[in-house]
Amino acid sequence: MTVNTPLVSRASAPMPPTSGADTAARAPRRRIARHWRAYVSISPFFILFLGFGIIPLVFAVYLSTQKWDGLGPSVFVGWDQWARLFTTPDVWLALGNTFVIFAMGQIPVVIAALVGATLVSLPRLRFRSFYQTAFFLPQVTSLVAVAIVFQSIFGTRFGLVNHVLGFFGIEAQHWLEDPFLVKVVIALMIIWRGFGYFLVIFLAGMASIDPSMYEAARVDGAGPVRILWSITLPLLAPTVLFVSLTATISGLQMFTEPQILFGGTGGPNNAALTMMLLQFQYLGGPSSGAQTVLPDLGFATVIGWVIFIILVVLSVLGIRSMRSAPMRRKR
Amino acid sequence: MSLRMTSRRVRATSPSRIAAHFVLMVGVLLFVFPFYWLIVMATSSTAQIYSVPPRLFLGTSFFENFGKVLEGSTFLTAFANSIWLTIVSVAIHLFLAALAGYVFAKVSFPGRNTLFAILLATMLIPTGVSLVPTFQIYADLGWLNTYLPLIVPGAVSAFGVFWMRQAASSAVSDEVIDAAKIDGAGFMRTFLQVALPSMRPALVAFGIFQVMWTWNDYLWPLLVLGKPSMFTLPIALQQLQGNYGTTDYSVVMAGTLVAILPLIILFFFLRKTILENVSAGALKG
Repeated sequence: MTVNTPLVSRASAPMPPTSGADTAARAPRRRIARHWRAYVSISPFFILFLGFGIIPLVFAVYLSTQKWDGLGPSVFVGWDQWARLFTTPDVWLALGNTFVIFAMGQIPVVIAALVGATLVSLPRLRFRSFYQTAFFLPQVTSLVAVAIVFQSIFGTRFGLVNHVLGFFGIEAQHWLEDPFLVKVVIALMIIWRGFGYFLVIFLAGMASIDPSMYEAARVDGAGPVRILWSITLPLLAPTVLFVSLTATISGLQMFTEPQILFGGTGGPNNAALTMMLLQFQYLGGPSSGAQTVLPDLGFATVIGWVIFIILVVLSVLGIRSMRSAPMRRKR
Repeated sequence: MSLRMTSRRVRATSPSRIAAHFVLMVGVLLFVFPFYWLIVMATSSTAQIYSVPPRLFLGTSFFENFGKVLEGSTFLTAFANSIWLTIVSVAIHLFLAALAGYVFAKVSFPGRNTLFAILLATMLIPTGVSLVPTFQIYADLGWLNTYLPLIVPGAVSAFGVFWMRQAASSAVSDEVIDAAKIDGAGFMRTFLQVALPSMRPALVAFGIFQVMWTWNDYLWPLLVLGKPSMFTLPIALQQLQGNYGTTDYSVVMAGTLVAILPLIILFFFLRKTILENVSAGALKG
């Protein structure tokens, strides 16, 4: 300590001798050292992000140039794995499936939740919290459980849905064997699980709209549909857009539903093959459907990059939409 | 004039509210039905499940079915694994997120705003979508067939720190912190005894969401947990479905029912907190 004193006084010499300025003038390193507790407290996140966020990305650049079955030696193949994207029909099929299933599930669920939230938020409506609770319940169940229950409900021979259809004289549908109906079932799972979640978010958004605006519209003679269209929607649009985009981002990583429904395969004609599932198959993950493809960790990495790039593009769009959203600042 | 308007409005809204109740009730029936059907199947015998027309009423075979769940797999172990893994990882996450959030909100230090901006920016990078490099890193660390990949990398999230910073800046008052310092409380004691108690509501809210995400986590446990004795509930369910799915659905359903029950009970107890905080939780991408 005594050794340091001359150094410190020399450093602070040109400064006015007030005590506050004296502290500030000490070498920045000492100022940082003085706050070591703060830095240690916030460091876990940054260390973990570096170790399990950044380093895997760097490693993924290297892996995407390799051909490797995970057991033998890894071989450098340059851009071959990237070129393989364009010659592998399954990639395009999986990309298409991911977006189609998502559009079939996500667009209806957002619209339905908007309508539902409008109904639940009617002034002086009774049982409001009962409705919220009932609709939110599916959200707390695990996707694995949801997939198991839906698989049984949509069974061809003993499934309840086909029994009900039979009651109305409609012939049994091959819900889990038909390439199109498979997507319908997964979309229904998305709708069933997501509806209450979106409903509750929209309700919160609607609650933040100034009630006097509704009052004014009503005095002007606007009906409920007109109010929804001219007041609620424009004010809620940023929330809708933001929520849809974040949901898209997680939806593009869809994996559990098809993996459980079809035991790791892509389903009939690979109609339920999603990008994450394809990546999982090339990784050679456990029970990835009787090894439908030869594991290639290099190619799996490239598929991971494709998902990454799509998500980054969507995130940028998401921020753009959020910037134009005055309401988002609320929380 | 005003009287006529009021009476017309009452007449106009009442039928519309009845219509709203009708639509919502139909919706509730559709949404709750899969739960009811799950209970019906879990309590029916296998023969009852395959009866035509299907039985729509509860059966009496639940304990018989659940007995098969217990003998056929490591279901109970998985249940215990899920419980302790959820408690440990959520506790670590809450502590680290609260500590960092408190520091970002209440302690001034050089570079604070820059570091927080970096932290927020990381939320926009979709890390972890490339399974292979992450999996290889776990393998190189010798972490496969341990719970470390499910605890350490997610031990604290940018989202959690963000939420806890909001909580600390609104719930923890500077005066109380200063008073604690004057009383001679150090950095850690101030955090634990002054800041943490005031952040309790936010900790509960964020904690519930973290519990739901951890409990239902599927992809990574499937990839890294190879031993049946280590399985968590979602993996045990997947195995159960693989073993009984084509022969004995009532057994699978009994296991599924028991697996989702803890979160449903938790949800009913903390319903208000959860519903009030969903829009905050929505920020997580």
